[in-house]
Amino acid sequence: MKTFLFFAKFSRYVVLVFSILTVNFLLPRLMPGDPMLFIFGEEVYGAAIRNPDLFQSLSSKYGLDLPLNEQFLIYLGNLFRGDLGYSFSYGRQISEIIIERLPLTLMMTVPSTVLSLIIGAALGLSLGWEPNSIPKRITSAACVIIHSIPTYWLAMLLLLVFSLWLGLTPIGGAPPAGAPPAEFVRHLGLPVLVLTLFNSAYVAIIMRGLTFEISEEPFVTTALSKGLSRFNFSTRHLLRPSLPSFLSLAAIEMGFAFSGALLVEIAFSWPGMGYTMWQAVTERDYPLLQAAFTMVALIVITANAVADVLSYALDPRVRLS
Amino acid sequence: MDRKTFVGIAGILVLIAVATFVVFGGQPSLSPSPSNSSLNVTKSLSIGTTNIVKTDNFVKDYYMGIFAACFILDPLAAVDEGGNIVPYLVNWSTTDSKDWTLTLIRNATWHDGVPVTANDVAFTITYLKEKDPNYATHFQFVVSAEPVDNKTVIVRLSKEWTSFTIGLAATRLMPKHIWYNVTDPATYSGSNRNVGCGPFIYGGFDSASGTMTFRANKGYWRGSPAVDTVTIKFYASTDSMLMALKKGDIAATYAYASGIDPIYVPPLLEEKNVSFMILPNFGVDNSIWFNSMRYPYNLVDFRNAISYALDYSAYITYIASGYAKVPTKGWIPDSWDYYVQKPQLVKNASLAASMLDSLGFIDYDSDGWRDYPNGTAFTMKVLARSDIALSMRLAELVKRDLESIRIRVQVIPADVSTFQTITQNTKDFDSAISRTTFWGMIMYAGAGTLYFDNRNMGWANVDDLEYHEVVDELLRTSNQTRTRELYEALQELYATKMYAIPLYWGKIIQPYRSDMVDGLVYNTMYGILGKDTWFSIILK
Amino acid sequence: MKSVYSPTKLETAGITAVFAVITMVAISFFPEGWFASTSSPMPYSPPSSTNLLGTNDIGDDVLRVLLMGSRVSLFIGFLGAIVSTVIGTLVGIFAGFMGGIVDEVLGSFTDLFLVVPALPLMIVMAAYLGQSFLNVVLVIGLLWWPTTARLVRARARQIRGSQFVEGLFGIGAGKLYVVIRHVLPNVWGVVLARFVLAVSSSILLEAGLSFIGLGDPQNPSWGMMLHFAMTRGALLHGAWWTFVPPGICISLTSLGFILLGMGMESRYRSRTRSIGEIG
Repeated sequence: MKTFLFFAKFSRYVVLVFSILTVNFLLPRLMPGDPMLFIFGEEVYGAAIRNPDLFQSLSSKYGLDLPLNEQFLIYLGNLFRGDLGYSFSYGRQISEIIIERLPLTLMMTVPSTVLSLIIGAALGLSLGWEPNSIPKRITSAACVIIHSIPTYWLAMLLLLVFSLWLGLTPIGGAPPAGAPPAEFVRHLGLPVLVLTLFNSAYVAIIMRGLTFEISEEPFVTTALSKGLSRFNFSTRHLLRPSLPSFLSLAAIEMGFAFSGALLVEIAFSWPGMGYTMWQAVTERDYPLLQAAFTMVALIVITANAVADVLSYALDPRVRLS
Repeated sequence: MDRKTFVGIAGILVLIAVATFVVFGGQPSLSPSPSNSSLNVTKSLSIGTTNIVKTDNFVKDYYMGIFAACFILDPLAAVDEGGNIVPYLVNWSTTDSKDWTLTLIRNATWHDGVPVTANDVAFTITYLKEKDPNYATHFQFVVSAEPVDNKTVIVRLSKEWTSFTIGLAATRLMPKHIWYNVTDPATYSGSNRNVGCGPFIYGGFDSASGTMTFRANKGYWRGSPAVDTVTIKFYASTDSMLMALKKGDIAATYAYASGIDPIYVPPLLEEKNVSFMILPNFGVDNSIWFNSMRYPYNLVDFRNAISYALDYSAYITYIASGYAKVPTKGWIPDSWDYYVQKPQLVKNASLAASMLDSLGFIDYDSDGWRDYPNGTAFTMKVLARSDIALSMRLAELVKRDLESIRIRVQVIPADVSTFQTITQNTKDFDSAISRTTFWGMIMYAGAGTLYFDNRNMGWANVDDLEYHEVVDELLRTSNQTRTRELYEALQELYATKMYAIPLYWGKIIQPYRSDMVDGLVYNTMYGILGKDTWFSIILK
Repeated sequence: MKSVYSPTKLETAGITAVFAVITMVAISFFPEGWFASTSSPMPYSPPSSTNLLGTNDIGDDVLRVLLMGSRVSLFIGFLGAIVSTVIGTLVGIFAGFMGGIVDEVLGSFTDLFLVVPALPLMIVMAAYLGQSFLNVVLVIGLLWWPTTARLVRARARQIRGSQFVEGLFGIGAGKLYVVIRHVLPNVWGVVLARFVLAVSSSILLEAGLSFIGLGDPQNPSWGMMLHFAMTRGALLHGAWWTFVPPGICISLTSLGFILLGMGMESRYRSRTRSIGEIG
């Protein structure tokens, strides 16, 4: 029964991934106009309509003359083999581009997620206790405010101050591949700061809520009245039981940071996944755009699925319900 | 331990984050470029650009094609300061403009040591005609290109074609021994794909960080270039490129067939080490193109009425930062030697309004906007390049001007490929805003005919018999005086028919750091990266 | 339950911000000369007595553009919210009344829809559908209805199961009658809270899309002001007045709607975690 429930729960993620792939497959084929245009991009399409042989060979290579259901199987097959197609604006295999760009996005999201989880959790735990003191209310309000500031706008302000006025950081871009790590840190400083601020505020708001809920419960008062210090209490009785929710929060947060990083990347011209997607749109490189979207969506969904697994594995209450 | 501890921990973590940031982020001089101090031997130059190369295959990638033409390849012919085609690797002769004899006049050698021969010339022409759609126009009438001996090639055309030499200037000589068995050059990725016979040897490309390097070709037929290495740095935004210029990370900026967006000039003027080359622009910086086969844009009076509604001085102030002048009705900029003075364009909103009134474009339903003469609502659609911020802003200003004479305007954003598809293939547009380049101006029959004639690229979609006749004669004649007369006739047609309204005649603004580099030579086609720069450049 | 509406502090703050934006929209309908100089001075002039917030790259008065942008941002915010709320409410009531398989499917889909990253999806849609504010409306509508539907469903089911409604059916009342007379008035609070939160999300998403240059040029919004500041050298000019005000407006508006929505939601839900559903 337990395993059945487990599978029932996760079959939903499978369904979601499947739906996203299906939408991705159908979008170019069902849009008004020739699907070849969307599948190959305007440039190759333009060349292909002038050249019937090329048209024919491309069309049969991608199975565009087959019925839709067979095309779908080919599409899925290619995907599983890691063949994401060919980007015509880059003139390269899309998988190569993604392998090159994905680490750049991770360089930005992993440190900011880790930092924001630590800072946000500490802040949230502290805010949840007696949340009505004036400094804490101000801090809580600040968290909500920071969370509603668009990240890219914050990026612009920081660029103005740190790059233009103070000249401390570069105005954008990535250092060359072989550059010393310090060079990467210099470029990543501002983007990571922006993402960390934004995500810490989010984590803090959630943790504050969790802490507040638990601190209201009668056993807490009992424990405290028995002379347990708040810090000991927090680590033993609060952090441990809330660990599952915290870990699942961390996983969701990672996915969240990943899609949230897109705009920050564009603001800082950091050539990660978001920047690549944006470039693909401006050049109408449909195959690259779709592949990049699939990757981002898959990562976000995986992060959420991991969050579910964690809360399932660690939290007895979830398992029972 | 109480709650203060938590606040303390949080505070410490924030401090650590900030400190890490300051320590690493606050030392821009952490890695000084070693080339300046340690080795005085290597003279290296860094150039910034926003013309981003995506893949280093020069057949496939447009901007790689440009950089390859500047550094690693040599053209068959070059363009001089006045915009004339002059011999470079080959000289030519023809008696009837149909059979052309090309003669190799330089002792060039490929970077891999193989000598350049007539075989390469013949191969390049036939290969490009067959494999590269961009050369379809240049070599459309080429029937055959055969080597006669080691130095000579005979090219036969299917008809008289005086503009054949333009194709020679566009052609970058390719080594036959590398490409002869490559069936799809656009996907060829062999390590010898960037072997040329130009002044520089290809050094490599890092696409993620955006740098490309070139090393001097000591054995170049004009002698060794005055710099040892050139690094091209690609920037995603003009802001970051110009910041790099201010900091001295790059010695100059580069943009193919244009300078920088003039809005950036005022903040750069404050930098004492940044100087500007201000050069005449042979292209028309921006025009509004009418689809002159669609009603009501096919009406000369309608187009003229629009020309009276536009505030040309505003475009100069806000788009060109003052580095431009109000155009004349003749469209062709005064930088050309065949330019003829025509009346200057002026804003006269009341004249524009009365012309529209008399055409029947009146607000019938009193909604504040002019309608078609039959009473249905009228909206003028303006296509603009969404990937060029300047173009969208210009469209916004045009929209404002037209709205002030009660024409409802809709700006349609289009990226470069969509723009080309719409203006050149589907022709489903009312009007479009775009610039022209020197290169485009000389192609086809010259004098911008490429952009007008609906039998060619034809943004203005012109099908006037009168216009076609002038173009046809231009394509036939090899008589210099007659060509000039025909160019004058074209300017008369541009002025009276107003197929396109020039919005401003801009300048090309080329910034560079005068404390780092001197002796840059501006080439009409390739700007400061023309071949002459490499033999007069002085690094400081 | 208090009979007189007494807003909490959260709601008060939210309502204040929302009113500030609505005031901006109202002012934008006044004659231009009242709030902005209509003569066009130099590009990027700093704030002065004639141009209170200075001018932008094409010599436009920033205050004027800002006020005009408030119309667009708010309009798109409301439109997106209306679409998602209407779909969500209809589906929710339907599922709540029907139960069974519809209910099951809905239940399993609601969480999942929230996982789909909205902005990347919008970028993809913009590539296919062109640059139009309909993208934002469509994506918000598509991704936001399930949560609304789930909340409405729970309430509808509760009402459906009540003795009173059973009684009404007993005396022959039609389903439509029950829905309109008794269900809708009862789910109103949830729906409104969700609506207000959706406005904030739409505004933020639209701003993001416009910032990267995929906005609707017919409807220049605050996000587009940031776009042109970023691409036309406002940073190098040090022209902070072109991008600080629109950023503040976006932040304040979204904050206002979030606070208002959170306040309203907490009346219906004991735990407020709605903030996790933004973005």
